[in-house]
Amino acid sequence: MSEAVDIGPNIDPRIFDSEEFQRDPFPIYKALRDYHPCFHDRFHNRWVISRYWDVDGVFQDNESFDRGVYEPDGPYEFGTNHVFGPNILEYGNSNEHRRLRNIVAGQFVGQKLNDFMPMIDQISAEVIDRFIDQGEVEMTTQFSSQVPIRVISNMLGLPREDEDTFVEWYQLLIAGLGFGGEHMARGIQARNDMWDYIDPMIRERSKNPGEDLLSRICVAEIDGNRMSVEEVKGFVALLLAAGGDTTDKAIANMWYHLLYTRPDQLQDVIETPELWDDCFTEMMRFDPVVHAQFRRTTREVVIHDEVIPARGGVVLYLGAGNRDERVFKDPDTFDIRREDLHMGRENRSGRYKDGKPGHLGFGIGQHFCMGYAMARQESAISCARLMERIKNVRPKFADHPGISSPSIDSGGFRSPQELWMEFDPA
Amino acid sequence: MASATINAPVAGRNGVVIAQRPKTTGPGYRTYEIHQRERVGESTEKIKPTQLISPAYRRDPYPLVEVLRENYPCFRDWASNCYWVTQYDDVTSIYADDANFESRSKLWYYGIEDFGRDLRDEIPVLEAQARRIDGFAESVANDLVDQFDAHSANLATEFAARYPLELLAKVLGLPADDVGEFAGRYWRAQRGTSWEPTLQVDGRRALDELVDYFEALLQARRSSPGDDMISAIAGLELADGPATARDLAVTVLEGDHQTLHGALANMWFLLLTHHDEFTKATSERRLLKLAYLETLRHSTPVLSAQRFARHEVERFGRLIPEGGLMICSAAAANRDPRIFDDPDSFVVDRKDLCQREPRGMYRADGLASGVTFGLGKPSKHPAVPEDRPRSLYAITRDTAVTASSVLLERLEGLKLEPGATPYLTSLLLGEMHTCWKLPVHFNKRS
Repeated sequence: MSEAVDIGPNIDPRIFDSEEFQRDPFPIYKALRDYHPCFHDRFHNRWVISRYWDVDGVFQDNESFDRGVYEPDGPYEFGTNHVFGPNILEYGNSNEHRRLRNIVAGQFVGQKLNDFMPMIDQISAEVIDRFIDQGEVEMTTQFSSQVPIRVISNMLGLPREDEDTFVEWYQLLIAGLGFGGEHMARGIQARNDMWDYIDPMIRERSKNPGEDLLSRICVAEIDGNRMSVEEVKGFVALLLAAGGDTTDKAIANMWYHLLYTRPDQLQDVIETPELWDDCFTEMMRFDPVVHAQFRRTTREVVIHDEVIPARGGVVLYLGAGNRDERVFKDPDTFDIRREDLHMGRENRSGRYKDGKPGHLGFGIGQHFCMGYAMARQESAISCARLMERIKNVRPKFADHPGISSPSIDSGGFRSPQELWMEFDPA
Repeated sequence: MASATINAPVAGRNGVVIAQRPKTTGPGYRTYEIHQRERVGESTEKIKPTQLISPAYRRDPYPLVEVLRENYPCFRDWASNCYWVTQYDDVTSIYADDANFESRSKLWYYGIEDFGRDLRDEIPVLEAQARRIDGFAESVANDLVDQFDAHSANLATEFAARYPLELLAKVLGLPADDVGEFAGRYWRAQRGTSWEPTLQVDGRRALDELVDYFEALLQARRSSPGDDMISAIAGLELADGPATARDLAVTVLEGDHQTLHGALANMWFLLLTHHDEFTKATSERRLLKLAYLETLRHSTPVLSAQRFARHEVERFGRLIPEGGLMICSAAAANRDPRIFDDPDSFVVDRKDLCQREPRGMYRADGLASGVTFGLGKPSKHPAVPEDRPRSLYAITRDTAVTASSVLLERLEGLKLEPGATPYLTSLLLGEMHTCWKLPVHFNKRS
């Protein structure tokens, strides 16, 4: 009566909390994809999805999977104790989420985005001016973390002279998203400082709105009601942090891969600056800034013979789906000339006219990243501007510890800790 | 499952049928905090969820759960996707609240809920179990002591760990030669309910082996019944057919017989390391019983129990989502200073611990009892019921006292081996918190 059960390579679920996993999750991803495509992680009380088309399927299926924990359209007050304050991330697949999202989503695409292009150019130039004479640069602190936050604060119409303070604040906010301890205290402090700073501006612009994004958020109406001052503050915190930090890390990751993973393709990018776009896409596939998204089932769902009960927690490993050998050839090779990946702009359907699969890094469906176009433009423009000003680019150190996720005690995204680069001014 | 529990009235285990809850709609706002995070969770300054899965927790959970109890009484643990409930009144309120929170069977943890029926609550089974436990409690303890060396033993492995399984074998009426193999399979099947995938696969295999083993026994008892528990199960007249070997295996699995191991080992660990309390406890049998109760309060072997929210429910200033996993920490509740004076001290004749079997809300005579999971649920029936044996809580307690009395009678001058430094720990996170090395010295009486 007993039968041998093949569970493949054993996956100790504690691995997900380990430093090893933060540094290099990809061997675990492969074991998950090959042997446990729907892994019941009893230790963390959740199910883990890792294959490309399974991740895609969950993203597409709003009926069975909810982003939110609670009943989607329940009358709840969200997030007043969040490091960001109340914000759109707190909502599940609800109509409230749709309305809130619609207020801002339009600001980051199309003509609105194009209007900001000259500003991205100008800000990149200013940031580059600061280190161009030094012959070397630590990319994460001197470049990648400087550009996006200035762009966002400019869109919001915040005073330019305070930009350095915003950089400090948003880094503390992001760290405060983690599981606690000292990070949280500092995050809350930064949030309060920022709120005190921004409070009079919100009141002023609610009365006398201008053309900036902050004014538009202040006066936008949801069902006849404006957002409260607290909600606006939460939104601003979210924009600074989510809009700033992710793009920051994306830029750093691209440079890391060009300097260390594929130095041969660095030459291609130098010769053909248009390739920055493809570099961005391949980076978002190979090792994206965000590796995991969470969902909860709204009903019993069966995936690969594993029954996930209603209200079960599901983690989608975007980073694993992106390396699925069922979809991409040589998935563990970083290649900006990859032919089996949709290289152009992403969209929320995840389906493209060229018939190629896209990367999962921005998510798919209702919660698709609304800053997708902006992140790409900011990254590509600022990097191209930098490349125009320098030549003979080379890593300062031959070895690099690599990209890593932060410890789960602190919030944040995947990126190199430091990235030193030497160059000659062009 | 979820839609059924929302739409149909829920019958709690106490038989109270709960009316369907109206869905909350309308413009009203709730006033308390609701959080959900994209990647990470609500931050807490004084503790990180990673500390709750650390080796430090496995060895000594008490300082950590104290942080939770005194700062975050309903702690949202994002890393393990659960809620920790730690104050005494909160833990007991969940434990008594069948309408809103459910416990899940061991089969659920195995993912094989249809495997077999749990027949533990059938009266003939309860009767056979009580009769056999009472009949063998003393002789099994004596048999084990007979096997000790003349002057020394490891009380944890040679006595506490073996006693419950030897006794269970007697309850089931297993042939003496089979006990070793049976105990191994039983232990593997129990550990298989863990989160550890290899243990689970091994446990599932052990469960199948148990079924194979029980098949022949069940047939034999059906033709020539005795007064053991297998005979009682074989003779049951059930609505959906006679009991099978699978039902028998499930019934054995669902009973947490091995937790008595933890209770005995912890009790003797505490007695042997607290000289004054040892003297006190051994002065009369009544005090030995109190020592057992105080052990379960001070160092309960089962640190916490899991409950799942049947539906979205407001508790402890939070909104608990449907299906939310509640970790009810007995370790934290039992050291709650709101309930017990000087809760970290082991005091055998504690004045603020109830001495009778607590019923319903975990209190008797106005005093709180220790929260203990897995050692027999206190009965909801009268103390001396007419239609059924006394509760498993009482039976387990009396058994532990009987076994301990045997040790005291047979082992003269019982004391800890000089230089020994015993300690409590869990072999694996989530498993029993107990003593595995308790070397003692004595002069054995025959």
